[in-house]
This record gives sequence, C-alpha cells and structure tokens, in this order.
Amino acid sequence: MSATEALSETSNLRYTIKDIVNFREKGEHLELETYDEIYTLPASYKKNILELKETLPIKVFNPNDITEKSLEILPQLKKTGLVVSLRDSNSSMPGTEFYKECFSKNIDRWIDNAFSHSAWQEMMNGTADVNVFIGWLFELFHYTKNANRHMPLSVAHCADKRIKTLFAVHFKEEWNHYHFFRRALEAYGFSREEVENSDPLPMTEQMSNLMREAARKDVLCYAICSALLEGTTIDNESYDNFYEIVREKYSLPKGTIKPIYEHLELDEKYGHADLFLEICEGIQSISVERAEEAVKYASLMSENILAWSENISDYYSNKFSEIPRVKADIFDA
Amino acid sequence: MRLKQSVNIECKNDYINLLYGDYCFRIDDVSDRDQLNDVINSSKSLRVALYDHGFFRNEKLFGNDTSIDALEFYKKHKEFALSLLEDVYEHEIWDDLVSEKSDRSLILGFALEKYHYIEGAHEHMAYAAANSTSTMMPHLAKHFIEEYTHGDIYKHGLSSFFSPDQITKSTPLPTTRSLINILNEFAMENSFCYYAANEVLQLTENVDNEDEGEIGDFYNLLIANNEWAEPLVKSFRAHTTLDQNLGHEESFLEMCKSEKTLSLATANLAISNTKKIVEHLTIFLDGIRDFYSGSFSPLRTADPIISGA
Repeated sequence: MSATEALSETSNLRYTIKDIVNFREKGEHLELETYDEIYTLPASYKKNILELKETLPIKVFNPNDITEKSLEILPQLKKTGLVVSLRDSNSSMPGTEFYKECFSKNIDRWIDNAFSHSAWQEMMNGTADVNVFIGWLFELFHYTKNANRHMPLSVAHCADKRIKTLFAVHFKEEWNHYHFFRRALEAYGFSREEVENSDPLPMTEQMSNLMREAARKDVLCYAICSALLEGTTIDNESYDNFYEIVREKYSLPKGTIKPIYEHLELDEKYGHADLFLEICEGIQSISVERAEEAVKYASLMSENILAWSENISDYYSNKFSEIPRVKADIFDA
Repeated sequence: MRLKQSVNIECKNDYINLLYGDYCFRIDDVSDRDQLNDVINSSKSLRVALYDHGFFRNEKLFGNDTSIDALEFYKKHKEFALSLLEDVYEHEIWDDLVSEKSDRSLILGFALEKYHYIEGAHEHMAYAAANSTSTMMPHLAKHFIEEYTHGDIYKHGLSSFFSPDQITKSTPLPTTRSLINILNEFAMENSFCYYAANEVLQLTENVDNEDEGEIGDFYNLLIANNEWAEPLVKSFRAHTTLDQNLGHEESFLEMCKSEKTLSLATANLAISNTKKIVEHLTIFLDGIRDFYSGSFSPLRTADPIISGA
C-alpha cells in the first residue's frame, strides 16, 4: 500500500504541523522545538518537514502537491505528535468546551511566553538598569489608562446583552486604575505632570490598539485577550516576590511598590479572573472557525506582551533615552 | 531645528561641550550657536542622539500665531520626515536581505509581513476615507480606491511559494499589527494628521528619479544573490512602479493645498503622528529581522484546534 493510499482513509481530515519555534541540527538528528515539546527526528527529514510545513493544512492530500517521501513520513510524524489533525472546520463546540480545551489548556503557555523576556530575570537579580523598572511603571501607567480606550469599545461592539453588562461592570471597576502607577512614579520622584504628559512607547500603544482591534472583531476575541491579561496579575505569590525583590535590589522607596500591591489586591477582590469562564458558560455554540480566530488573538496578545517587554527593555536601558518620554510637539501651540 | 533652551553649552577656546544632565557631547571648531546648529544638522549620529535625548523639543517655528500656512507646514513636515527616515534607511535588515548569505526564511518572512502591512490598507485607508473631513474626503477616497488592491501584488509574488490560503491565513507578527493598528487609530482620529503619518510611508516607496533609483539597486542585488526569489522581487518591483505611476508623491502636497491653513494643534498632532509612525516602522523592521532570521519556516500559523481535543 502506498503512502497516499494509506492516508486516503483519513483524507477528509485537515492536518497541520505545530509551529516550530526553534530547530537544531545535531549530526544525524534534527531537533524541532514546538510550543510544547522537543521532537528528535532523522536529519534527512528536514527538507520534507519543511515541505509539509509549507503545504499543510490541506483537506485532501494531492500527490502532486507533496512529494512521495514527505507523504511517507507523515504517518510517523503523526505518531510523534508533531503533525496533528485539526477539528472539522464546519463543526462547533459549546462555550464551556471552548473554555476548557482552547483557553485553559493554553493559558499557562501563553503567559510563560509573554513573560519570557530576559529583562524580568535581570530586574530580579539587579543586573538590569533601574530605569527598566521605572520604565515598566511608566508604560503600565499608560497601559492601564488606555483601558478607557478599549473597554468601552468592547461594550459598544458587543451584541449580547448579558456579556455587554459584564463588560460594563468590568469597566466600572477598572477605568481609573492608572492612578496606582502614577502614585508609584510620584513616590519615586516624578511629578504628576511629568507622568501624565509622558508619551507611551509604540508597543504600549499597540497593547490597547490590539484590544481595540479585538473589540471590533468579535466579543470572543476581546474576551479571551482580556482573560489572558487578567491572568498575568492573579498569581499573587510570584508578584509578591518580583516587586519585593526588585525594591530591595534597587533600594526603591516603599511607596514605589505599595500602590502596585493595592492594585493587585483590588483586582483579586473583584474576581476578574473568573469573568471569561462566566462569559463562555453562557455561549451555546462556538464554530471552529470562530474559535480559531479567538485563539489566534490570544496567541497574538501573548506575543504582543513579549514584544512590549522588548520595547521597554530596549528603550529604558539606553542611556540616551529620555525619561519620561515627551511628545513630539515642535510647533508652539 | 533648534536646540532646547535648557541645554547648557560650555564654550572653550577651540571646542564646545554640550551638557545635558550627566552627558557631555564635544563639538570641535565651532564658535557660535548658528554654526553649532549646522554641525549638528550635518552630523547624523550626533543629531539622532541629541534628538532622542530631547534637544530638539519645543522648536518655535511659527511665532505665536494660532494657525500656520499649510504649504509652509508641508515643507517643514517633509524635512522632519526625511530626517527621521534616515534611521529606517540605515536599518540592518536591508543589508541582511541582499547579503550573499541571506536567509530564505528572512526574505520570505519580509515579503509575508509586507503583504500583511499592504493588505492593511483595507483597514486604515478605509477608516481614513470613512472618517475624513469634507476637505480631505476626495483625496482619501481616491487614495483608498487606488491602493486597496496592492496587497494582491505581493500575494501574487508569494503564490510561487505558498497556497493562497496559507498566505491570507498566515499570522502577522505583533510588530506588523502594531504598524497597521497605529495607522487605524490615526485614521479614526484626524484624517489630515493620519495622512501626515502615511506620507512618511509613501516617501519610502516614491523616489524622485525617473528610474527606480536606490530601490532598483536594492532589488537588483537581492535577486543577484537569491535567484530563487525572482517571483518575489518581481512583485516588489511591480508594486513600486505602480505606486510611482499613481503620482502619490504629490498627494500630501495636494492635501495641504486644499487645507490652506492648519491650527497649531493640528500641526503638532501631525508631527507627533509622523514621529510615531517612524518608531512603529522601525519596530516593524526589527520584528521581521528578529523573528525570521534563521527560523525553520517563514509560515506563522495560529495555534491549532486539535481534533478530539
């Protein structure tokens, strides 16, 4: 039986190769690192895996599209788990299943990726410039203030009254949280005017612009990104460690981190971390196509946070950078 | 551009120190402020360092008027935009792309991200047209209508390597979405100031020469070192030619003529957008270089929703 024939039984399924985030060639072996595992395969497979990566997913295997050798190794790659079969694009799932299978199973990985930048460890061990931490506070000020740009927009674009109300209440509880970060910066020595007139970094603006994009796209895209962001502030134990260690390493005034603890405690009290489950529980059916789009947004948000960290680290560790950043207003108004 | 008042200048016999906080820049053979400005304006690295450090803020170009002539603004804006674009033109990615050792993944990744960015015209140009003032409406409607199919040119080039679905469903980098989204936001806020930022991007495609100029040299070198990339380069070239033939290098000038005068607040917003778009453009290029150099495949796909999960 040829490889094509062997696959014909399942030719109505769609397959894909997981995203390969890193690869290493070690003699006769090829190590492929995906988001959840490292696969060791024969080095001779490299060309075929690349071919499959750039051909899949296809619904029906056409031998003209893929070489016989690639088709031959496909069953083996399926066994290893590198190649996975996708859900039927015409199917759907209840909201609770979406929460469990598409959100809960991925959230830790998304958060780990989001905070994988070396700057976090460098702040913890005191090797980063203190300005990177101060910059983080400035950008958090803008990021929380920009909740006013995306949270009401999500309400305006939401067609489901139940979710609309949940979002409105969420907004009511969050809209003015930027004052926590302003107070932290004031405790460090910046004036209120300096903080409020500062200019956010491009990727800080993109954090809220991505949320605005998601709000316009679909309530599920917005809600999953919001849940990811809430997920970044619920692990109190690790945050206690982070802020306390950083404060000691850089001998920061206590007032610099006190408002941050107040903010974390308030978020915990409101229980915003459970909001996404509540939203999903009330959704009867989510098409696979819609679920894929929402997962794409969550994944993009995770990458966005990583790119945000890079932007903050790059800018605030540069001794020539202005702190605070000021707006470009070259005309006297 | 003029120096900010708070900069301290220490005049020595045969050189000048610029003192700003803990930093000191030494300028040799300069004896007065005008000459100092000339030196600063002719020394790119120093100018960029000083600009980033805030030396060029609060420039007083138009006295205490409440509005300015739009054509005067056009000139100042172009000067400002071109000076900022120097960093974009000197970005490391351009050498990486045309190098003899250039990376297949980087070249294809660059084309994919550029496709997503150009396809983003469906968003920002549409928002701009829909939110425009009556003065700006004819310009922005025309611009959108003339540009909305340009993503297809890149898609055609990429179709030699990927299926149409793979191209359209590939996931853009967050830094690419960042560039599209900031244009979306500008377009929703103020149509003139949106175009002031978009003009910077147009400047990167429109050259004054009759032939392709430096862009043509770049394409020639890219193809000389990467013959396999010919279909891509063909699409890059087709897009550049089309942009140049549309005469969009005159668009912003025409808009300024229509506006006649601008409030200083509008002028400042346009300048702020211009600075921001260059920052986003730089991050767009950083993102491509960082992600695709040495990556296994340029195709970025979303997390799969697995059967039986």
